[in-house]
Amino acid sequence: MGNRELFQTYSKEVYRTCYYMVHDAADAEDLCQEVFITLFRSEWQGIEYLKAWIMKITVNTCLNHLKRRNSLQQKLTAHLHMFRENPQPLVDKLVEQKETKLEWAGYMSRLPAKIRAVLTLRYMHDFSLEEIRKMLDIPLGTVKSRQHKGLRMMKRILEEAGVQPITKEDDEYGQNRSTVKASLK
Amino acid sequence: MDRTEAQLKRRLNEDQELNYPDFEQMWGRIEQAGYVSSKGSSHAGAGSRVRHRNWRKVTVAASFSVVLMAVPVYAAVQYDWGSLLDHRSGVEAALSQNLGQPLGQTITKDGVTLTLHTALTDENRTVILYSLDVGPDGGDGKLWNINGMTLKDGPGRSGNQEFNNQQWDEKNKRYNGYFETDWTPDQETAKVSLTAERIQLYSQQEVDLKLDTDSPERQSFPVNRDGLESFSVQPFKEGTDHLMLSTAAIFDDPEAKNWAFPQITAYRGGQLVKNSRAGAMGKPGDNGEYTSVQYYKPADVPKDQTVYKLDYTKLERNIDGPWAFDFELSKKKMAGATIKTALDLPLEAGNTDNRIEQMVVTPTQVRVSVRSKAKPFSELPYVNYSLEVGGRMLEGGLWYSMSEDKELIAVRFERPSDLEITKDTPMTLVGNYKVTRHGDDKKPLQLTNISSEKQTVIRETGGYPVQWTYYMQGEDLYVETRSDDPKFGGVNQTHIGTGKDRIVSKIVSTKFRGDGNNRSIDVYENFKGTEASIYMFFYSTNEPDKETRVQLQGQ
Repeated sequence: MGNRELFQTYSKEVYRTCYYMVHDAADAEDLCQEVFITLFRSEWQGIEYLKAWIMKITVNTCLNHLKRRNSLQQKLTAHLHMFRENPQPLVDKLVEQKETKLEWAGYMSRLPAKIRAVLTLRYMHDFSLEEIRKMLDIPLGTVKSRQHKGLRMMKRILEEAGVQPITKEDDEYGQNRSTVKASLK
Repeated sequence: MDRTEAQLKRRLNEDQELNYPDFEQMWGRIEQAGYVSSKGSSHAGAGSRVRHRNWRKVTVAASFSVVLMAVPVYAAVQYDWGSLLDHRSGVEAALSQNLGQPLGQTITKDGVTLTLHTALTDENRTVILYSLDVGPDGGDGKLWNINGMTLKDGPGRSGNQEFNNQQWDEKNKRYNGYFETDWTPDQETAKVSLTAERIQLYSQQEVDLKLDTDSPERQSFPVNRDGLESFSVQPFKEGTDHLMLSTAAIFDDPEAKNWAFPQITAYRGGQLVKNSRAGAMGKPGDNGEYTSVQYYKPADVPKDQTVYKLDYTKLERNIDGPWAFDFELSKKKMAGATIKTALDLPLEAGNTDNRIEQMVVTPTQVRVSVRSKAKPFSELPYVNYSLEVGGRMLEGGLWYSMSEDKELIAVRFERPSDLEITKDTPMTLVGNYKVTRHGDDKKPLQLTNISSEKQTVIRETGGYPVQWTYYMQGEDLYVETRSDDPKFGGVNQTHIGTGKDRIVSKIVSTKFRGDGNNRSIDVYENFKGTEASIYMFFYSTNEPDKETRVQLQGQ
């Protein structure tokens, strides 16, 4: 596999990860490009667990970006909203949700970035907690607590947004993923 | 799995509503910026001397002494940058015309001095030439890295593409480098800061291994230094084709794992022997050891002529930043030598979508801007571009706009140092290999008796026979399209049904314009039913031999 094939194989997954991490299409595009530049400058041919390594670089690139971007004010707004006593979706959030069908990226963006990273690696890419521990370089207990905290917050965000509980058909989802992944290789 | 988990799992993987960016354009930008080197196309080999650059952040005691001083400005123009600027001939050209802006700023920490010499900023890009004096630790092949270099203006904006490159200067016993960004000042001048996160030195270490490749036993060698406790090797012979060496390194300092990358090197008559095929590095073993597999051709490593060594990287120095320089950049000097020409020329006869709008000749580059109103998004109809200038041919690259004005596409050409361009120099833009996108095939194709069996239907699109192959794999419907005629460029994406009920496929394969591959694979996950009306969004056609020539100026 050469650089071009690497790009072809992983560009969508890298972009999707960036998109859900930063919730901004233009930033996600830039970050996706940055990730591939990093990959091409490294000796990736020698890496055994290529996907895990690529996602590690992707998520960490996004976290760095968010760290740079997040001004104190943005942080305050996000947290105030999340921990409201009487949760009411902000008007602009509602408008935004109507405008874009990609409300899930919006929900994700309301989680703290570090928690978002754990949920993305876990539920988008199916990595184990142990793999996530290595990728983010944090203790296993921290991975677990971020996962639980993230799920709890997400549940509340969904309730608040009035998202319908999952249907039976939805529950079956996930069984097909292995075929899709296999075909991507 | 609880409901929230199930929902997350589903939604985060659902991308039919996610608008992907144009990956082809992204590839073009990466390629243009010079990041797609030969490294990727041919395997670098585990035995390569070039090591992983994704150094993890190293937490070594931070350094304290910060001395910031301004050194007298000197004539950086006269400085010999050696072969550093071989691929940046335009920068060399500008320097030789004395168009650089002397900076002369220096920061020294822990005996390491980073000096900014000269800045060049024009309508196209900003380049800053620097040197790194590391004292007695310097030398050719020493792995000094300046990590996280970035240039920001007052409001904190930086370029989209930033990188730096450096090489050892034996004469002056220091490294010369340049930092390049696509950021340029909006105004004639701008206050900026150039920062770097940390500067690090690594070294390559070698330890002799008395390895017996005839023995099938695992052989262990104590190392006991630089965080490496021991290294073991087990040879496997695969006939006369391959000698496989399975290695495992045990660390007593877990941090060293982040940069050590232990591997075997073989020398025959003092010459490094190449690996015979790609190995694998860095797989964690059952007990946390770092394991690798490397291959040699037995004929390349005869037993009595070959010496094996353990090779690893050692972190020698870490000097934390921030290394920060503040200064003012000015386009004034370059502006005097810049020729901007407003143009209004069709990129090719009869094409109203793409018009050449401007040409900017700076001392470092020639940039031709084309406004593309192509639907559904801006793109140029030719894949390759070159510029004929006074009898010479320059190869160009495409730069898609990162700004608000998405219609503007630039073709950039690096300017050779000995090429004089005036307002009268004849210049012609040449485009090759035409690819045209068509949205005119809106007829559905009926897929019938959908099953796990592959079925193929041939249907004509734009005069080309296109094979549609469809089949179920598990719960998912796969649809492949291709044509035996290479002039057919491929189907970009398909959908089933129309209107609000339409289902858009997921694209499994990715194609690039003009790559000669017209095979596409789409998937419809969780497909129910045995029949479908399938439509395509676009298809493209290739004309590899088609050329356009546009005279930009002169006779």
